[in-house]
Amino acid sequence: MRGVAIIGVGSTIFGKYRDVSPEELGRRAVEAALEDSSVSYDKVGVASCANVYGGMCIGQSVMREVGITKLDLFNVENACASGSSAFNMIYRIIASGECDIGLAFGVEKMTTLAPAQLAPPETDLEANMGLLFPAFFALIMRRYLDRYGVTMDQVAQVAVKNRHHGCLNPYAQYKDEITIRDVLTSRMIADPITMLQCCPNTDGAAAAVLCAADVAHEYCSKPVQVAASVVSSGDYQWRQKDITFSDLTHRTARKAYETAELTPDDIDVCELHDAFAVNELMHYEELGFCDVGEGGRFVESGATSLGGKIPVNVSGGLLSKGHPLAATGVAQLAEIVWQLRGEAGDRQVKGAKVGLAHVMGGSVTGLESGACTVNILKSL
Amino acid sequence: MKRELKESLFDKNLFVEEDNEIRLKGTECPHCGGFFFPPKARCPECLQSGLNSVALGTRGTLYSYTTVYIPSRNFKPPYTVGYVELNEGVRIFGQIRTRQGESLMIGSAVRMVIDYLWKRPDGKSVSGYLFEPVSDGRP
Repeated sequence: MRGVAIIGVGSTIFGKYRDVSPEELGRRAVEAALEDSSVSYDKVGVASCANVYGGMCIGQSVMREVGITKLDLFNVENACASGSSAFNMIYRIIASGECDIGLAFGVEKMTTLAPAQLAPPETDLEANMGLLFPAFFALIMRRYLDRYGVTMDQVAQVAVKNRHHGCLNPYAQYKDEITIRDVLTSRMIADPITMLQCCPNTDGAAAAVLCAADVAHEYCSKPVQVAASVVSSGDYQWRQKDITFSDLTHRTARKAYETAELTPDDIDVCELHDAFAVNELMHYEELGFCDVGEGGRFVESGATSLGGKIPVNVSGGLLSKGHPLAATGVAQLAEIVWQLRGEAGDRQVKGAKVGLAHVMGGSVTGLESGACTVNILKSL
Repeated sequence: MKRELKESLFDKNLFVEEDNEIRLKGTECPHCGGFFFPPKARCPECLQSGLNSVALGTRGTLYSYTTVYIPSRNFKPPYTVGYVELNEGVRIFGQIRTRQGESLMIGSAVRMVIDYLWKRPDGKSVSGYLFEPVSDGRP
């Protein structure tokens, strides 16, 4: 296996685009990434498009608009982890030596194509019994708060922090500051989860151009190395076990750290899956940034704010940048690339050299989560 | 009443009749002793096949719960759902029905009840399992 680098990234501004087609959103992101990389269109050997709610062959629709045809092209679905799974696939193909340059992109049109309430598939037992994603995470949250004495203020602090970060990011959906009181008094969704603890409905697309590391400098002055790219599915018995700790995230992260020969202490900046505010606290623990049960105190200490020890979700995260499902994983990687190149403007983490991106998602009866990905990027 | 409930079960593969009562159908692994619901062909713990079909008990405790204020496919808000740990050790997700003024806690004693759950678009009632607190507190 050979080294792989990211030589270009692009993203639409995240938001609600009722009148823009998914293929147009995809085109904007793909063209931005190709332009960023200076790769000519005929050099792209393979592409992978992530999407959940767009229907058949959406990758081909996007590439038709871009003007690239007769391509090795795949459509990938892995729920919230679709984008990062599409990225992982292109990473593997280039690492294997089969191809030198590839494109991974994610596109999602939530406002018009996704159901109003996200739930597992229609045939799923727990979905029929009333399991929506906020309800599932509310069940986990109640156990987590009960077990570790984490406070509602600490959970709300995640939403406040990520909103502040989002205010500094031109790509984010929400750009107005909020307070702990705003979060806790917003509309109740699934007790104790209130509206401002939930990620919003978002449209968007993001893309990344990958290439063999040894030729990366031909296309890009600041290529970023993929130090590890790991994907894994969840355990089918997890809902029978301790649901206050995601073994899936822990296991996937451990493999990524081992592959990259790094430890959690080496991570300078992190984008993680904050679909609900409480998830972020739990993921600090699972990714090894703090001890188990310490997530609440960790966010309260400011360690994960811009300027802290390990800034988390400086893009605004899913909570404030928004969460177009299949675009999210690629957009996180775009954010890390901008951070490592020193191009992140007001939200720049000073001197960032190593970044980690984490996504998990998808639900069927019994399963912890459909898929989890952990990608670690390093300045070359 | 019982016959009508039985005929409108939303998925007959999940239920079994024992002592003239409708019970949840689980599987028990003869190799590791684990109980599973919904029934499995292969043990998810030790991966052996040849699991035995069993009628699960009706008593358990509340593992976690939440009241939901947005609609789901079959339920109008507000409704309460939770994970219940049956005495066999198997954890099951379902609707939790409380009477006015009745409060829930992690560890509350509950029992499984067969009743109507939702109405299909054609107006037919669908029955299945739900859980409710038991006043005697006995798990």
